[in-house]
Amino acid sequence: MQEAPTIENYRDIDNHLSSFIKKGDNLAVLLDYDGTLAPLAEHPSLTVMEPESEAAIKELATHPNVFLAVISGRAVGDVKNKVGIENITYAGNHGLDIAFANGSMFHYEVSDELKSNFTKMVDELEEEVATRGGWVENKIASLSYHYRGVPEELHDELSSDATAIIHSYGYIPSQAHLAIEAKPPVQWNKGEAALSILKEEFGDEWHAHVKAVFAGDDTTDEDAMKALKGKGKTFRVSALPSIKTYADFRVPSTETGCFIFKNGTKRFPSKRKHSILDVNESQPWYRQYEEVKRLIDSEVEIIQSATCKKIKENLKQFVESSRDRWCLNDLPTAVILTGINQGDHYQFFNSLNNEISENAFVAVIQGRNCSNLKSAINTIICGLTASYVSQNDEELSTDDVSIRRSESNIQVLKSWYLETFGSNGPSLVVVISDFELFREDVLTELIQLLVTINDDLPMVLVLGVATDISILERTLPYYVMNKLQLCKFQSSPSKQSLEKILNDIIVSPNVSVHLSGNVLNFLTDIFLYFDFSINSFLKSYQFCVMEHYQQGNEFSLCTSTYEKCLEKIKDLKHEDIEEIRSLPSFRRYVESLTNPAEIIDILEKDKYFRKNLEPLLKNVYAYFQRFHCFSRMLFTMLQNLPRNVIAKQYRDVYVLCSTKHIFRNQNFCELWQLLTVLSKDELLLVLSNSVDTLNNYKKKFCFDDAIGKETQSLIDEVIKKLVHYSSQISKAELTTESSKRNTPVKLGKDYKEELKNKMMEQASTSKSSTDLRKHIDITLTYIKGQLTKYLVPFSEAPTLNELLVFDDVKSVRQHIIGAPRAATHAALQNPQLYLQAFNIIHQDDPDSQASEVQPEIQARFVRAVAEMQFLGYIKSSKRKTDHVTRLTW
Amino acid sequence: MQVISHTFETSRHEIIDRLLGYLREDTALPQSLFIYGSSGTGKTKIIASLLRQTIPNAIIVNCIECCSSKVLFETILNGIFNHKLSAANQYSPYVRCTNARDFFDALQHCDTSQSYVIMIDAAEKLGDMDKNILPIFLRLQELSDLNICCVLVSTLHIQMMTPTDGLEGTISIYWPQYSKKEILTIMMDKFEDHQAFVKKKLVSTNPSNVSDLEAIVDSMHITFFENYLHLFLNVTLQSCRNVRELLLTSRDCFQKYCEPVLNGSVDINDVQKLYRNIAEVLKSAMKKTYQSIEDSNETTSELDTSRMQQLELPFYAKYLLIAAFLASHNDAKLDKRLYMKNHGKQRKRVQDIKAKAVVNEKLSTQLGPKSFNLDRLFAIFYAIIDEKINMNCNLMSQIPSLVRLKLLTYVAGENNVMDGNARLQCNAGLDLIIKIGKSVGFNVSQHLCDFM
Repeated sequence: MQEAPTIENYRDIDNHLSSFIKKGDNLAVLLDYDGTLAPLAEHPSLTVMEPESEAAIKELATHPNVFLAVISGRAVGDVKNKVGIENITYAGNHGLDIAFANGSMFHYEVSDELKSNFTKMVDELEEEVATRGGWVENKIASLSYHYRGVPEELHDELSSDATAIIHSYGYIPSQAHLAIEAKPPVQWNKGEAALSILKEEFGDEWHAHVKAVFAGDDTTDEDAMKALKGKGKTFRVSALPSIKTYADFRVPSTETGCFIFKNGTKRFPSKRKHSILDVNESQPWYRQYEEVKRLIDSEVEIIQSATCKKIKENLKQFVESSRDRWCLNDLPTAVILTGINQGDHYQFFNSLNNEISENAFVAVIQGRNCSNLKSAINTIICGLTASYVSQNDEELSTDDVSIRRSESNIQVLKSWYLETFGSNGPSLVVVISDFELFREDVLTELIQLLVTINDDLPMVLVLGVATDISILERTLPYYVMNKLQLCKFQSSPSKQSLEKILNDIIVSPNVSVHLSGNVLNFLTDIFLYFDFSINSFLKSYQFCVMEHYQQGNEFSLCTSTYEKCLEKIKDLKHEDIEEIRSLPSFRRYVESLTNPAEIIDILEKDKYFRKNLEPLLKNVYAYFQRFHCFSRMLFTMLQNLPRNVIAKQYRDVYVLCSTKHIFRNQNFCELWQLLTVLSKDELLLVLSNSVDTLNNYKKKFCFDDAIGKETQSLIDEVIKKLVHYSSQISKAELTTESSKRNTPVKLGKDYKEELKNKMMEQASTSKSSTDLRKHIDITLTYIKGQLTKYLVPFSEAPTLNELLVFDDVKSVRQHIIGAPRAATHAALQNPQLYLQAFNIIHQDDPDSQASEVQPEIQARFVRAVAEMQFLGYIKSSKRKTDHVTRLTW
Repeated sequence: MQVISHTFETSRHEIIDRLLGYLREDTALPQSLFIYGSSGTGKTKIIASLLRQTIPNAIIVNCIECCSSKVLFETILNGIFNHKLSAANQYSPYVRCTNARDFFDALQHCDTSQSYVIMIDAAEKLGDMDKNILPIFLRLQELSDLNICCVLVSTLHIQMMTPTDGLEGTISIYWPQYSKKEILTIMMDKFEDHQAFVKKKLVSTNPSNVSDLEAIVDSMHITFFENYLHLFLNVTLQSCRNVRELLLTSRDCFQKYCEPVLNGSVDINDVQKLYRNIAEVLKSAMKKTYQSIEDSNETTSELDTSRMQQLELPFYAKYLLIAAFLASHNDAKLDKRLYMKNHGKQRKRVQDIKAKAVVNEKLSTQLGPKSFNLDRLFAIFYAIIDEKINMNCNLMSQIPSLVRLKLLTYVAGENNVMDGNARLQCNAGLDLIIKIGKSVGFNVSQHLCDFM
């Protein structure tokens, strides 16, 4: 045995195997199951193959040049079920049973004595050691005793007991991963099995016809590796780099194994040439995702350029007017307060080049490019000349203004400018996009320099400041500051930009993927609490969209409009339809059907299903259209209410409505109560505002299709009602006024009559006020009715809502938020090795028991420390040779 | 000569005469001249135009533009040999010259019958370059055997610059400050500019009867301006003598000064009343003579002003900053008392009571920030924040971004943040932190040991 070279990636395997496997060769692939094809699990029945492995294996199985066999310690039937591929060879019980692809079986015959001993052994093992979490797996010809679930301190005891029992019955125990395997005392193992399979399949001279590849992770697999040594190539799956093995190569984990197989298939001549990504591109869900992504990107760009437009115009004006300023030759300087996330603004600064003016050239510099003055000057000159070239690209090529970078200095810039433009040319704008990231000394010298050359060339300085303007005074010395003529610009706060993007794109009815309230909350929380970065917000959103479509091809039905969605129905395949059938909301729909024939039709016949899909989709699309419409109306109604904390932004309302029935939410009901006690004028204002919102919505989002028309008519109806009610409310007010006017105010002679009159008057006013109350009540009840009807939470939305709503907070959280602690935790828990190493450090710290250290423990300790240092968990503290500091939290 | 003297109508005749005595084309030039004086007193302007008119081979170089000695040498040589950079020669210099030796080699080709004067502006920068640069230019004549003279113009005295030996042949001249009278004469010249500025303001603020008001401005007599300048200089000269700044400030003040006249509320000749109007403005102007920050009103009016916080930070970043401030300004010994629920009873000792009676300068908030490590920062952060938050990457990345914004700085161990050796300190002031604390509803002073 020896250490084997490690294979980390595809390149490695290419290097190692290119000489072994040639084009057109036949290939026999023999694989272990547990720990190789599928990662180990708590219980053998829980192991599952990674999806990639499964796909790769299936591909291999169908390949004409490849013969595939799975050799496992499990019973044959078990492993067959687990792998789930027909027409390949399976060997169980370490090769004692083999089921060939052509259906024939092979059983290794053992003596009757052993057979009878076997049952006794099983019984005794069950009695003696199958306690405290250990259990016996009976595989008919062999067995395994698993002690994975046993507390660690009992491992040694129980395993030695089990070994003794197995010995006593004449079987041979062998150590596996937290298990003892008992095999009959015969000269038959995985190696023999592998050879016999190959001989059976390819004849005695098999190695002349076929190249064999074997992979396994266990000591039992070593037999096969030994047997195939020199005849084929073998792989041992093990995380330990120093493991001694007969295998030719070591693969660190099952993922890598899968990776190797997957890419290995690529090199076979008759195979279609595509990687997993190529497959995706042609699939409907991917195409749909691409389309949606493009749409979102373009809309974001529109919004961002609109928010920047104002400030760009002002800046342009500033640059243009900078020339005819007052007598003093100060350097005109625009300070743009960008807000703390500079990353979001690089694009803005870079786009200035096109925007500012035809009559100015722009150089944008960033702190990271300017570690000293010389490089800063170089960057500026290159930027200015490049800008000049790009604006005159018809007549000029880059050669015409070739200023060599090594040659560029201010003299060169001056003479270039004067030669090209004379003394009265365009302004030269230098944009320092991240003021805070510059070194102070460089910045001081640079600005001093710009001030100096401003005497000869028309310079303009633009500073992007992330914090506030006082940082200028703190950074720049007096003799620089007093030569700047500062003008302050404020870019719109990032919170505002986020709101705009949210309202116009992410929670707008035009979007295809509707985020559920939880996901939206999660994303905005990251923004508000952690980073304020629009870019990263958009990235996360894009991730959500991708995650949504990736669930399957049936999600390609998720489009921005109903019309487009209908086109996608025909692309659905049978499997996709099956997926749709298994959606929970579709199940509910089927259960609600009464006609049994119809149920069978819809579950069995794809054609019937497709036909039925249209009305369902129409329903769900219409639902979202109305949902957005009425949530917007609700927001306008609540927006200006006093003591409104739950619905300050539209997104709050959206989240409220999408997660729960709003009228079951107590906070919301309190807010709603406030509406009923509003004064008439306020209420009328609220109503007219809502009508405006509805009208706007109609104009903006209702397109000329079936759903759009339907929604339009619905909105029209609501508007008509609202207008009607508000006119009634205002009329009610009028009657009060008129009754007031009629009442006599003079004091009459007859006191009683006066009193009577007053009573009458009061009665009439109260009546009119109740009249008003009544109208208000009617109005609000009407609105409430409409809202409860249309603002159904997503979870209870019409059938197939799963296709349009993304609600997987968990996966988003997992992927978006990096948690170093959790990662460390997982890393330490999973490969037992690291835990052991920590234990060793904890227990066997050489300092604590320096008196006598066993050499083995010492050696293990040193190795563990070295490995952990390599992995970056600890680091030498340089205090003593053996002192380390931890690097993780 | 008369002409030159006249262009600088101020009483600089004496110094100009002296310079003219040294710098004459037909005689042997002195080894070098070192002229120093504070900025904004017209050194460069006067000497440059003087040289241009008297010496045909005058080369004027600004040290700020030449960031390295190489560029400086090449620029001087370009000037001496009258070499113009252009696209035709691909903007390459007359001769490449990486060190002083190349420079002198090139100087060999000069016409020895000619006399040259090199004026080096901002010569204080020479001290920061290579050690040999300053002596070279001070003794250029001796080293090159040419009739050549260096005029170094600097704001620093030559004694302040690093190599101070070998100055024998250098004539150093002090360039005096302007007197009040001189400043007045200079500023009197700018009357038209002031008028133009007032008119410009008029156009932008009050477009209705511009022409009438402009007529008033045009009709102003120079004595009106002179009166104003007297008032202005009386106040501002105490704090500032830089002509550039004075002009800037006076421009704004003059516009204010004119307002009552334009309104018609005060007669144009009533100096006393006008003074009363302008006194406040002048006093405030004195405080901010050089902070002329203009606001682009268009943008500010659009946004809701209450929303425009000076500094907007994410919620947790605010708390992190507060925690950093507390860690910087509290003693680590007190942490337990401040942030733990059951911190036990504090026994009062005479020492403590004495210590309590600290004078103001012992307040730790005024002693400046102390450094702290990341562990302590996070411990305080978790102690002052009510919610439960996981330690995740987004939170950790707030620290570098605060460092980038210069609100925190690494004091030590910047390169090994991972092992917890890094020490930070908080640069934010108490005012800013209190403001931030208010915005998140956190009482900062309660958690500062100074205020307990």
